Amino acid sequence: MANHDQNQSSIQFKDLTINQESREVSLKGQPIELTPKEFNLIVLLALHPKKVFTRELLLEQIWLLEDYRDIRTVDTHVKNLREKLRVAGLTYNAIKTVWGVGYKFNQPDSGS
Amino acid sequence: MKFNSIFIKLSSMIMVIFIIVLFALGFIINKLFTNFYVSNVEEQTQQISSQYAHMTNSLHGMNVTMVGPLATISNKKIMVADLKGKWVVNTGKIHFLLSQKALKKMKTDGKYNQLVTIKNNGHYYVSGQAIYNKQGQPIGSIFVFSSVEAIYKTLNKVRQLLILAMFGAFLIALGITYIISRRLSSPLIEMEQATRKMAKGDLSARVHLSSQDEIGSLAVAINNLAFEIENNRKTRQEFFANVSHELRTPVTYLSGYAKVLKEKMYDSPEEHDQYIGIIENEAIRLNRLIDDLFDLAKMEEGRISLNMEPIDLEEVLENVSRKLDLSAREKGLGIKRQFAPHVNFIRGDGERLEQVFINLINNAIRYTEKGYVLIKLYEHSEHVIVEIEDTGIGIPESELPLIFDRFYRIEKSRSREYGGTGLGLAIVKTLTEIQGGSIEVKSQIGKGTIFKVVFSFIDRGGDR
Repeated sequence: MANHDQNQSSIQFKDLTINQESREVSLKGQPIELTPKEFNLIVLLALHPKKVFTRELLLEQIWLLEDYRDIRTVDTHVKNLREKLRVAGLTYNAIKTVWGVGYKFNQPDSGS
Repeated sequence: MKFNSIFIKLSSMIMVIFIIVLFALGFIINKLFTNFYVSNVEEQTQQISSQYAHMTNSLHGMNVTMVGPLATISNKKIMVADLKGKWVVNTGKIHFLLSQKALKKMKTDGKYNQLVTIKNNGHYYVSGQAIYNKQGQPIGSIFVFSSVEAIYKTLNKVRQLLILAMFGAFLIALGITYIISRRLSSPLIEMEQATRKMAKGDLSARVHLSSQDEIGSLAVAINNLAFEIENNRKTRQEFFANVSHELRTPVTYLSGYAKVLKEKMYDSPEEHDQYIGIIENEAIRLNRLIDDLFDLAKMEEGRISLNMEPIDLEEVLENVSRKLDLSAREKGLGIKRQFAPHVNFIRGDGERLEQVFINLINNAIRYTEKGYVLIKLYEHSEHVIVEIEDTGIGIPESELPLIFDRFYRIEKSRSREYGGTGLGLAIVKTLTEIQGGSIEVKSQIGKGTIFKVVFSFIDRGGDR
């Protein structure tokens, strides 16, 4: 259940806040340090919480035309991102794998 | 025997080769003998004729009259002709006309050698030599005739013997060919008959061959195949027997309790509800059994389509443990997780992997009354390993190899109480294996069981 702030720059999912302007993610007010790619990834997924992104699409949207493009890069970044969120204390898996398709943002209420 | 059988093909091939060799050999032997005998005579005759020609220098007188006795001594016929080919001396009284060709040859070469046939007198080898006078002018020619009749007779005998020998050799070759072809084709025929029998359903048919060559190994392969099919048929029959038994039990319950309700054979509303509960449970059970059977059938036929992709097993196990958390807590068990950090991805189908671990963890919960279910995830030399450990009743060691068989249950009497379909572990094993993994089990009675699932990992892609 996304509560967009009035200024549209911040996305809120219960305890998780993603601020697009300051490029910061925080959980219960505690900031989580993410790499630029990880941040882009979570923003892209969080902005379309109902959409399933294939690995190819994510690669295209986030890695653009960089030299090094391997479909596995996406998996690795998702895994690292998940781990950072979990270490920060997130109790559910924010980025869900839709088996055989790709990745999707997981909202806390539908997280079971 | 069929015309295009391997036996006919083989033997005719061998025989053709043999006949070619035999004829070539006979021809050469014949030629050798002929040359040997004839060249002997040729040499001798030519020698005599040239000697006489040297001794003589006129067609008349002493030298020529000597010809008669000389011919008698050397057992040859000697004739002298003038330049025109008219006979001056004819010791043999034979009718031999000098052809123009012979005269011409005599004029140019000074000699003439030929095998001739003379009417009523048989075969001769004739050697002519020109005679010269003292001034060196050719004046005529001397011809020596050697009979080759005896040689021809000998050669004919030799030829007869040769043909006889060839015929004998041919017969022996025919015999040997027959034996060889039989030896080569009879195992094939036996194998053909055996496989035909198998195809008709007599799977106990076997090929009885003991040779160590390729044909022998083919026979062994056929026997193995038959054994495998026989085995397959046996397990299929057992499987069908099991299936019908497993299906019949819930159906019996269903119809029995339905009848009880229909005839109102209960005393209290509580009893009524209890029976309805039983009917519902049995229906659920039946449904699950049918689902499992379909899954297994699809997998075994290879009709299941896998969506292979890089999989983070941590996520799979998290999803599964979240799903089963409630049923574990209902039994007062805790699901503990022990995940090593940064475990590599594996290649698999996420949905099917969830199915595998749901089955395993469900089993663990089902057979554990007290304690916990522990899920371990770690890496070990290029493998990602998942262990599902429980503190349940355990499995007797003698039954460990059988637990992955379809419908195998440890305690048949109590199986209904635990509520499994008997197909769970068979599904787990098949699913694991078609995704390239393996599964093993360790157990101690009364202490618990550990299922260990092993997959090879794929290198971590991208930067970390």
